Amino acid sequence: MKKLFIVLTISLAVMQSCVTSLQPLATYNTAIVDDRLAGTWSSDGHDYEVQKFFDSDLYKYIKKEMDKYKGNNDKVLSEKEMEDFAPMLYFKSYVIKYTKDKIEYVMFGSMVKLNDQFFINFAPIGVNTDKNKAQAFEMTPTDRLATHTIARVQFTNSNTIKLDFIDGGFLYDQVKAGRMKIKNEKDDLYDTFLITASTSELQQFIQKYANDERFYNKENSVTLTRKS
Amino acid sequence: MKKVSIILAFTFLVIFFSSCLRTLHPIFTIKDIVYEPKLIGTWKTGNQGTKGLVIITNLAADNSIELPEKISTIRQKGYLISYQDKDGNATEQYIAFLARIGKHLYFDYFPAEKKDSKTIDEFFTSHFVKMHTSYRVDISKDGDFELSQLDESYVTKLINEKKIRISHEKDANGSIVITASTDELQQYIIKYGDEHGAYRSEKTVFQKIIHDL
Repeated sequence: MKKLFIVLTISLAVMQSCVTSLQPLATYNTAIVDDRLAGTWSSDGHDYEVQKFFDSDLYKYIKKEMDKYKGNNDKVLSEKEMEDFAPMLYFKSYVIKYTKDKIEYVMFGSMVKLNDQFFINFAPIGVNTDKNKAQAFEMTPTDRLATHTIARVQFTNSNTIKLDFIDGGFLYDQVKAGRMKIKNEKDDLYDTFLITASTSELQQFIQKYANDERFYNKENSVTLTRKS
Repeated sequence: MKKVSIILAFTFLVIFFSSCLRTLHPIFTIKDIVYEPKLIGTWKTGNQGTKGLVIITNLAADNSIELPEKISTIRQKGYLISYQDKDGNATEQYIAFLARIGKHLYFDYFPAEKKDSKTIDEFFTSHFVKMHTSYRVDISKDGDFELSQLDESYVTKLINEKKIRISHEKDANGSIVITASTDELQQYIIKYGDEHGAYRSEKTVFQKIIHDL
Protein backbone atom coordinates (compact mmCIF):
# COMPACT_ATOMS: atom_id res chain seq x y z
CA MET A 1 0.00 0.00 0.00
CA LYS A 2 2.79 2.34 0.89
CA LYS A 3 4.52 1.63 -2.40
CA LEU A 4 1.40 2.71 -4.24
CA PHE A 5 1.28 5.91 -2.22
CA ILE A 6 4.77 6.81 -3.36
CA VAL A 7 3.84 6.51 -7.00
CA LEU A 8 0.28 7.83 -6.76
CA THR A 9 0.88 11.39 -7.76
CA ILE A 10 -1.72 13.51 -9.43
CA SER A 11 -2.06 17.15 -10.20
CA LEU A 12 -5.33 18.96 -9.80
CA ALA A 13 -5.29 19.86 -13.49
CA VAL A 14 -5.24 16.19 -14.39
CA MET A 15 -8.01 15.44 -11.90
CA GLN A 16 -10.22 18.03 -13.53
CA SER A 17 -9.52 16.97 -17.10
CA CYS A 18 -11.71 13.88 -16.75
CA VAL A 19 -15.09 13.66 -15.10
CA THR A 20 -15.03 11.40 -12.08
CA SER A 21 -18.22 9.63 -11.12
CA LEU A 22 -18.89 7.66 -7.97
CA GLN A 23 -21.21 5.33 -9.85
CA PRO A 24 -20.47 3.47 -13.07
CA LEU A 25 -22.29 4.31 -16.30
CA ALA A 26 -23.12 0.64 -16.88
CA THR A 27 -24.86 -2.01 -14.83
CA TYR A 28 -24.79 -5.78 -15.25
CA ASN A 29 -28.02 -5.66 -17.28
CA THR A 30 -27.07 -2.69 -19.47
CA ALA A 31 -23.40 -3.54 -20.11
CA ILE A 32 -22.74 -4.96 -23.54
CA VAL A 33 -20.04 -7.33 -24.64
CA ASP A 34 -18.64 -6.42 -28.05
CA ASP A 35 -15.99 -8.62 -29.62
CA ARG A 36 -14.54 -5.63 -31.44
CA LEU A 37 -13.00 -4.42 -28.17
CA ALA A 38 -10.89 -7.48 -27.40
CA GLY A 39 -7.32 -7.58 -28.61
CA THR A 40 -4.08 -5.67 -28.31
CA TRP A 41 -4.26 -2.00 -29.16
CA SER A 42 -1.63 0.67 -29.55
CA SER A 43 -1.63 4.42 -28.90
CA ASP A 44 1.26 6.86 -28.46
CA GLY A 45 3.79 4.05 -28.34
CA HIS A 46 2.01 2.11 -25.59
CA ASP A 47 0.21 -1.19 -25.91
CA TYR A 48 -3.17 -1.86 -24.31
CA GLU A 49 -4.27 -5.45 -23.84
CA VAL A 50 -8.07 -5.78 -23.71
CA GLN A 51 -9.58 -9.09 -22.63
CA LYS A 52 -13.08 -10.22 -21.72
CA PHE A 53 -13.20 -10.63 -17.95
CA PHE A 54 -13.55 -14.41 -18.08
CA ASP A 55 -10.62 -14.68 -20.53
CA SER A 56 -8.36 -12.43 -18.46
CA ASP A 57 -5.38 -13.21 -16.26
CA LEU A 58 -7.19 -11.34 -13.50
CA TYR A 59 -10.07 -13.84 -13.60
CA LYS A 60 -7.65 -16.77 -13.55
CA TYR A 61 -5.95 -15.24 -10.52
CA ILE A 62 -9.23 -14.60 -8.69
CA LYS A 63 -10.56 -18.06 -9.60
CA LYS A 64 -7.46 -19.62 -8.10
CA GLU A 65 -8.08 -17.67 -4.91
CA MET A 66 -11.79 -18.60 -5.03
CA ASP A 67 -11.01 -22.30 -5.24
CA LYS A 68 -9.43 -22.14 -1.81
CA TYR A 69 -12.85 -21.37 -0.35
CA LYS A 70 -14.97 -23.43 -2.72
CA GLY A 71 -18.37 -24.33 -1.33
CA ASN A 72 -18.17 -22.02 1.67
CA ASN A 73 -20.05 -19.05 0.31
CA ASP A 74 -22.04 -20.28 -2.67
CA LYS A 75 -25.39 -18.56 -2.98
CA VAL A 76 -28.15 -18.44 -5.53
CA LEU A 77 -28.72 -14.93 -6.86
CA SER A 78 -31.90 -13.78 -8.57
CA GLU A 79 -31.75 -11.51 -11.64
CA LYS A 80 -32.76 -8.57 -9.42
CA GLU A 81 -30.00 -9.34 -6.92
CA MET A 82 -27.49 -9.63 -9.74
CA GLU A 83 -28.50 -6.20 -11.06
CA ASP A 84 -28.28 -4.65 -7.59
CA PHE A 85 -24.99 -6.29 -6.74
CA ALA A 86 -22.60 -3.84 -8.36
CA PRO A 87 -19.51 -6.07 -8.71
CA MET A 88 -21.53 -8.33 -11.04
CA LEU A 89 -20.98 -5.65 -13.68
CA TYR A 90 -17.38 -6.75 -13.95
CA PHE A 91 -18.46 -10.14 -15.27
CA LYS A 92 -19.64 -8.35 -18.41
CA SER A 93 -16.65 -6.04 -18.55
CA TYR A 94 -13.23 -6.04 -20.12
CA VAL A 95 -9.92 -6.11 -18.30
CA ILE A 96 -7.50 -3.55 -19.71
CA LYS A 97 -3.81 -3.95 -19.02
CA TYR A 98 -1.01 -1.58 -20.03
CA THR A 99 2.52 -0.79 -18.93
CA LYS A 100 4.17 2.61 -18.55
CA ASP A 101 7.59 3.21 -16.99
CA LYS A 102 7.80 -0.42 -15.85
CA ILE A 103 4.53 -0.17 -13.92
CA GLU A 104 1.66 -2.34 -15.08
CA TYR A 105 -1.83 -0.87 -14.75
CA VAL A 106 -5.02 -2.92 -14.69
CA MET A 107 -8.48 -1.45 -15.19
CA PHE A 108 -12.02 -2.49 -15.96
CA GLY A 109 -13.78 -1.21 -19.07
CA SER A 110 -17.57 -1.61 -19.24
CA MET A 111 -19.37 -0.63 -22.43
CA VAL A 112 -22.93 0.57 -22.78
CA LYS A 113 -25.01 1.74 -25.76
CA LEU A 114 -27.04 4.94 -25.32
CA ASN A 115 -29.01 6.47 -28.20
CA ASP A 116 -27.08 4.38 -30.74
CA GLN A 117 -23.76 5.61 -29.40
CA PHE A 118 -21.27 3.54 -27.48
CA PHE A 119 -19.77 4.72 -24.20
CA ILE A 120 -17.18 3.04 -22.04
CA ASN A 121 -16.81 3.30 -18.30
CA PHE A 122 -13.29 2.92 -16.91
CA ALA A 123 -12.58 1.86 -13.33
CA PRO A 124 -9.17 1.20 -11.77
CA ILE A 125 -8.31 -2.24 -10.40
CA GLY A 126 -4.70 -1.90 -9.36
CA VAL A 127 -1.08 -1.55 -10.31
CA ASN A 128 1.69 -4.09 -10.42
CA THR A 129 5.11 -2.64 -9.69
CA ASP A 130 6.80 -6.04 -9.70
CA LYS A 131 6.75 -7.60 -13.15
CA ASN A 132 8.23 -10.78 -11.73
CA LYS A 133 5.01 -11.43 -9.87
CA ALA A 134 2.10 -12.23 -12.13
CA GLN A 135 -0.58 -10.55 -10.03
CA ALA A 136 1.19 -8.49 -7.38
CA PHE A 137 -1.64 -6.01 -7.28
CA GLU A 138 -1.57 -3.00 -5.06
CA MET A 139 -5.09 -1.74 -4.67
CA THR A 140 -6.77 1.51 -3.79
CA PRO A 141 -4.98 3.37 -0.99
CA THR A 142 -7.28 3.95 1.97
CA ASP A 143 -7.13 7.74 1.66
CA ARG A 144 -8.41 7.77 -1.90
CA LEU A 145 -11.74 6.84 -3.42
CA ALA A 146 -11.77 4.80 -6.62
CA THR A 147 -14.12 6.40 -9.16
CA HIS A 148 -15.16 6.02 -12.78
CA THR A 149 -14.39 7.98 -15.94
CA ILE A 150 -16.47 7.92 -19.10
CA ALA A 151 -15.58 8.14 -22.78
CA ARG A 152 -17.54 7.98 -26.04
CA VAL A 153 -16.41 5.05 -28.18
CA GLN A 154 -16.29 5.28 -31.96
CA PHE A 155 -15.36 2.22 -33.99
CA THR A 156 -13.84 4.06 -36.93
CA ASN A 157 -13.09 0.74 -38.64
CA SER A 158 -12.23 -2.78 -37.50
CA ASN A 159 -8.69 -1.68 -36.64
CA THR A 160 -9.29 1.73 -35.05
CA ILE A 161 -11.19 2.91 -31.99
CA LYS A 162 -11.51 6.56 -30.99
CA LEU A 163 -12.19 7.43 -27.35
CA ASP A 164 -13.50 10.90 -26.49
CA PHE A 165 -13.45 11.55 -22.75
CA ILE A 166 -16.04 13.81 -21.16
CA ASP A 167 -14.46 17.17 -20.38
CA GLY A 168 -14.34 17.56 -16.60
CA GLY A 169 -13.50 21.26 -16.74
CA PHE A 170 -16.40 22.04 -19.09
CA LEU A 171 -18.84 20.00 -17.04
CA TYR A 172 -17.69 21.62 -13.78
CA ASP A 173 -18.13 25.12 -15.23
CA GLN A 174 -21.59 24.28 -16.61
CA VAL A 175 -22.76 22.72 -13.34
CA LYS A 176 -21.35 25.62 -11.32
CA ALA A 177 -23.14 28.11 -13.57
CA GLY A 178 -26.39 26.15 -13.28
CA ARG A 179 -26.53 25.38 -17.01
CA MET A 180 -26.27 21.62 -16.46
CA LYS A 181 -27.87 19.74 -13.62
CA ILE A 182 -26.48 16.52 -12.23
CA LYS A 183 -26.10 15.35 -8.64
CA ASN A 184 -22.62 16.13 -7.40
CA GLU A 185 -20.46 16.93 -4.40
CA LYS A 186 -18.20 19.97 -4.55
CA ASP A 187 -15.78 21.16 -1.92
CA ASP A 188 -14.48 24.66 -2.58
CA LEU A 189 -11.71 24.57 0.02
CA TYR A 190 -9.97 21.55 -1.51
CA ASP A 191 -11.31 21.88 -5.10
CA THR A 192 -12.94 18.47 -4.94
CA PHE A 193 -15.64 17.67 -7.50
CA LEU A 194 -17.37 14.31 -7.78
CA ILE A 195 -20.48 13.28 -9.69
CA THR A 196 -22.71 11.31 -7.29
CA ALA A 197 -25.67 10.72 -9.60
CA SER A 198 -27.02 7.18 -9.86
CA THR A 199 -26.19 5.06 -12.90
CA SER A 200 -29.67 5.70 -14.29
CA GLU A 201 -29.34 9.50 -13.82
CA LEU A 202 -25.89 9.36 -15.33
CA GLN A 203 -27.18 7.54 -18.41
CA GLN A 204 -29.97 10.11 -18.87
CA PHE A 205 -27.48 12.94 -18.50
CA ILE A 206 -25.08 11.45 -21.04
CA GLN A 207 -27.89 10.86 -23.52
CA LYS A 208 -28.96 14.50 -23.19
CA TYR A 209 -25.55 15.91 -24.03
CA ALA A 210 -24.03 13.11 -26.12
CA ASN A 211 -24.25 15.08 -29.36
CA ASP A 212 -22.80 18.31 -27.94
CA GLU A 213 -19.15 18.26 -29.02
CA ARG A 214 -18.24 20.73 -26.24
CA PHE A 215 -19.03 17.86 -23.88
CA TYR A 216 -15.83 16.07 -24.91
CA ASN A 217 -12.27 17.05 -24.14
CA LYS A 218 -10.52 17.04 -27.52
CA GLU A 219 -7.10 17.16 -25.87
CA ASN A 220 -7.90 13.91 -24.11
CA SER A 221 -9.14 12.04 -27.19
CA VAL A 222 -7.31 8.78 -27.74
CA THR A 223 -7.08 6.82 -30.99
CA LEU A 224 -6.30 3.15 -30.53
CA THR A 225 -4.92 1.10 -33.42
CA ARG A 226 -5.27 -2.67 -33.40
CA LYS A 227 -2.06 -4.66 -33.16
CA SER A 228 -3.61 -8.09 -32.84
CA MET B 1 -32.51 -18.04 -11.06
CA LYS B 2 -28.89 -18.45 -11.73
CA LYS B 3 -26.48 -20.20 -9.51
CA VAL B 4 -23.51 -17.99 -9.04
CA SER B 5 -20.68 -18.26 -6.63
CA ILE B 6 -20.46 -14.83 -5.11
CA ILE B 7 -17.06 -15.35 -3.59
CA LEU B 8 -15.66 -13.53 -6.58
CA ALA B 9 -17.84 -10.53 -5.90
CA PHE B 10 -16.91 -10.59 -2.23
CA THR B 11 -13.29 -10.50 -3.29
CA PHE B 12 -13.90 -7.07 -4.72
CA LEU B 13 -15.58 -5.89 -1.55
CA VAL B 14 -12.64 -6.99 0.53
CA ILE B 15 -10.23 -5.29 -1.84
CA PHE B 16 -11.89 -1.93 -1.42
CA PHE B 17 -12.73 -2.16 2.28
CA SER B 18 -11.20 0.34 4.64
CA SER B 19 -11.86 0.78 8.36
CA CYS B 20 -10.71 4.38 8.85
CA LEU B 21 -13.42 6.98 8.36
CA ARG B 22 -12.91 8.68 5.00
CA THR B 23 -14.93 11.74 4.14
CA LEU B 24 -15.24 13.68 0.91
CA HIS B 25 -15.41 16.99 2.74
CA PRO B 26 -13.04 18.32 5.42
CA ILE B 27 -14.14 18.38 9.06
CA PHE B 28 -13.14 22.04 9.49
CA THR B 29 -13.85 25.49 8.15
CA ILE B 30 -11.20 28.21 8.16
CA LYS B 31 -12.64 29.73 11.35
CA ASP B 32 -12.15 26.45 13.24
CA ILE B 33 -8.41 26.26 12.61
CA VAL B 34 -6.10 26.25 15.61
CA TYR B 35 -2.38 26.52 15.00
CA GLU B 36 -0.23 24.86 17.63
CA PRO B 37 3.51 25.56 17.08
CA LYS B 38 4.48 22.85 19.59
CA LEU B 39 3.50 20.21 17.04
CA ILE B 40 6.35 21.20 14.73
CA GLY B 41 9.28 18.81 15.05
CA THR B 42 10.40 15.22 14.56
CA TRP B 43 8.43 12.59 16.39
CA LYS B 44 8.68 8.92 17.06
CA THR B 45 5.46 7.03 17.39
CA GLY B 46 4.51 4.27 19.79
CA ASN B 47 3.60 1.76 17.12
CA GLN B 48 6.70 2.37 15.02
CA GLY B 49 9.33 2.51 17.79
CA THR B 50 12.48 4.25 16.58
CA LYS B 51 12.36 2.60 13.16
CA GLY B 52 9.92 5.07 11.64
CA LEU B 53 9.71 8.78 12.27
CA VAL B 54 7.08 11.40 11.66
CA ILE B 55 8.20 14.87 10.68
CA ILE B 56 5.77 17.75 11.13
CA THR B 57 6.59 21.06 9.47
CA ASN B 58 4.64 24.21 8.79
CA LEU B 59 2.85 23.79 5.47
CA ALA B 60 4.22 27.11 4.21
CA ALA B 61 7.79 25.89 4.76
CA ASP B 62 7.64 23.42 1.87
CA ASN B 63 6.97 24.86 -1.58
CA SER B 64 7.19 21.51 -3.32
CA ILE B 65 3.70 20.41 -2.29
CA GLU B 66 0.77 20.86 -4.66
CA LEU B 67 -1.88 22.89 -2.84
CA PRO B 68 -5.45 23.69 -3.83
CA GLU B 69 -5.82 27.44 -4.38
CA LYS B 70 -7.76 28.21 -1.20
CA ILE B 71 -5.55 25.97 0.93
CA SER B 72 -2.57 27.88 -0.37
CA THR B 73 -3.97 31.10 1.13
CA ILE B 74 -4.08 29.52 4.62
CA ARG B 75 -0.96 27.38 4.39
CA GLN B 76 0.73 29.19 7.27
CA LYS B 77 -1.91 27.74 9.58
CA GLY B 78 -1.38 24.21 8.31
CA TYR B 79 1.09 21.38 8.67
CA LEU B 80 2.84 18.99 6.35
CA ILE B 81 3.02 15.62 8.08
CA SER B 82 5.54 13.17 6.62
CA TYR B 83 5.71 9.56 7.73
CA GLN B 84 9.13 8.02 7.14
CA ASP B 85 10.31 4.43 7.01
CA LYS B 86 13.43 3.16 8.75
CA ASP B 87 15.56 4.30 5.80
CA GLY B 88 14.28 7.86 6.03
CA ASN B 89 12.10 7.67 2.92
CA ALA B 90 8.77 9.48 3.06
CA THR B 91 6.12 6.79 2.77
CA GLU B 92 3.06 8.97 3.30
CA GLN B 93 2.60 12.73 3.35
CA TYR B 94 -0.46 14.68 4.40
CA ILE B 95 -1.65 18.25 4.36
CA ALA B 96 -3.08 18.64 7.87
CA PHE B 97 -5.04 21.27 9.74
CA LEU B 98 -5.72 21.26 13.46
CA ALA B 99 -9.24 22.37 14.36
CA ARG B 100 -11.22 22.73 17.54
CA ILE B 101 -14.58 21.00 17.18
CA GLY B 102 -16.66 20.90 20.32
CA LYS B 103 -14.50 20.00 23.30
CA HIS B 104 -11.63 18.42 21.40
CA LEU B 105 -8.90 19.16 18.91
CA TYR B 106 -8.93 17.23 15.63
CA PHE B 107 -6.50 16.79 12.79
CA ASP B 108 -7.90 16.73 9.26
CA TYR B 109 -5.51 14.78 7.00
CA PHE B 110 -5.56 15.14 3.21
CA PRO B 111 -3.07 13.28 0.96
CA ALA B 112 -0.20 15.54 -0.14
CA GLU B 113 1.64 15.31 -3.43
CA LYS B 114 4.74 16.94 -4.76
CA LYS B 115 4.24 19.31 -7.71
CA ASP B 116 6.92 17.70 -9.86
CA SER B 117 6.20 14.10 -9.02
CA LYS B 118 4.58 12.29 -11.93
CA THR B 119 5.79 8.74 -11.53
CA ILE B 120 2.47 7.03 -12.15
CA ASP B 121 0.27 7.22 -15.23
CA GLU B 122 -1.97 10.27 -15.13
CA PHE B 123 -4.92 8.48 -16.72
CA PHE B 124 -4.88 5.83 -14.01
CA THR B 125 -4.52 8.33 -11.17
CA SER B 126 -7.34 10.48 -12.53
CA HIS B 127 -9.70 7.75 -11.28
CA PHE B 128 -8.91 8.48 -7.64
CA VAL B 129 -10.47 11.21 -5.54
CA LYS B 130 -8.50 12.18 -2.47
CA MET B 131 -10.40 11.79 0.79
CA HIS B 132 -10.07 13.31 4.24
CA THR B 133 -9.27 11.21 7.30
CA SER B 134 -9.61 12.62 10.80
CA TYR B 135 -8.05 12.11 14.18
CA ARG B 136 -8.80 13.38 17.65
CA VAL B 137 -5.66 14.98 19.05
CA ASP B 138 -4.97 14.78 22.78
CA ILE B 139 -1.93 16.85 23.75
CA SER B 140 -0.43 15.99 27.13
CA LYS B 141 1.26 18.44 29.48
CA ASP B 142 4.74 17.22 28.56
CA GLY B 143 4.05 18.07 24.91
CA ASP B 144 3.58 14.55 23.60
CA PHE B 145 0.30 13.87 21.87
CA GLU B 146 -1.96 11.00 20.96
CA LEU B 147 -3.98 10.47 17.78
CA SER B 148 -7.24 8.51 17.76
CA GLN B 149 -8.62 7.89 14.30
CA LEU B 150 -12.36 8.10 13.64
CA ASP B 151 -13.71 4.66 12.79
CA GLU B 152 -15.70 4.08 9.62
CA SER B 153 -17.38 0.91 10.87
CA TYR B 154 -18.93 2.83 13.78
CA VAL B 155 -20.63 5.31 11.41
CA THR B 156 -21.61 2.53 9.03
CA LYS B 157 -23.25 0.60 11.87
CA LEU B 158 -25.20 3.70 12.95
CA ILE B 159 -26.34 4.26 9.35
CA ASN B 160 -27.33 0.63 8.82
CA GLU B 161 -29.27 0.61 12.09
CA LYS B 162 -30.93 3.90 11.07
CA LYS B 163 -29.66 5.56 14.25
CA ILE B 164 -28.10 8.49 12.45
CA ARG B 165 -28.88 10.70 9.47
CA ILE B 166 -25.65 11.68 7.80
CA SER B 167 -25.23 12.25 4.05
CA HIS B 168 -23.67 9.28 2.33
CA GLU B 169 -23.69 7.30 -0.89
CA LYS B 170 -22.98 3.69 -1.66
CA ASP B 171 -20.20 3.26 -4.18
CA ALA B 172 -20.14 0.70 -7.00
CA ASN B 173 -18.79 -1.94 -4.64
CA GLY B 174 -21.51 -1.39 -2.06
CA SER B 175 -19.28 0.47 0.40
CA ILE B 176 -20.61 3.54 2.17
CA VAL B 177 -18.96 6.83 1.16
CA ILE B 178 -19.54 9.69 3.58
CA THR B 179 -20.51 12.77 1.56
CA ALA B 180 -21.66 14.81 4.55
CA SER B 181 -20.91 18.53 4.52
CA THR B 182 -18.40 20.00 6.96
CA ASP B 183 -21.30 21.21 9.10
CA GLU B 184 -22.83 17.70 9.24
CA LEU B 185 -19.45 16.17 10.04
CA GLN B 186 -18.95 18.60 12.89
CA GLN B 187 -22.38 17.73 14.29
CA TYR B 188 -21.39 14.07 14.17
CA ILE B 189 -18.08 14.77 15.91
CA ILE B 190 -19.71 16.89 18.61
CA LYS B 191 -22.31 14.19 19.27
CA TYR B 192 -20.00 11.17 19.21
CA GLY B 193 -16.64 12.79 20.05
CA ASP B 194 -16.61 11.29 23.55
CA GLU B 195 -17.81 7.85 22.48
CA HIS B 196 -14.96 5.38 22.82
CA GLY B 197 -16.39 3.23 20.03
CA ALA B 198 -16.34 6.10 17.52
CA TYR B 199 -12.57 5.71 17.28
CA ARG B 200 -10.39 2.87 16.09
CA SER B 201 -8.97 0.90 18.99
CA GLU B 202 -5.31 1.49 18.17
CA LYS B 203 -4.05 4.93 19.18
CA THR B 204 -0.79 6.47 18.04
CA VAL B 205 1.37 8.20 20.65
CA PHE B 206 3.78 10.85 19.33
CA GLN B 207 6.92 11.55 21.35
CA LYS B 208 9.10 14.46 20.27
CA ILE B 209 12.75 13.71 19.55
CA ILE B 210 13.82 16.86 17.67
CA HIS B 211 12.33 20.29 18.24
CA ASP B 212 11.61 23.08 15.74
CA LEU B 213 12.47 22.34 12.12
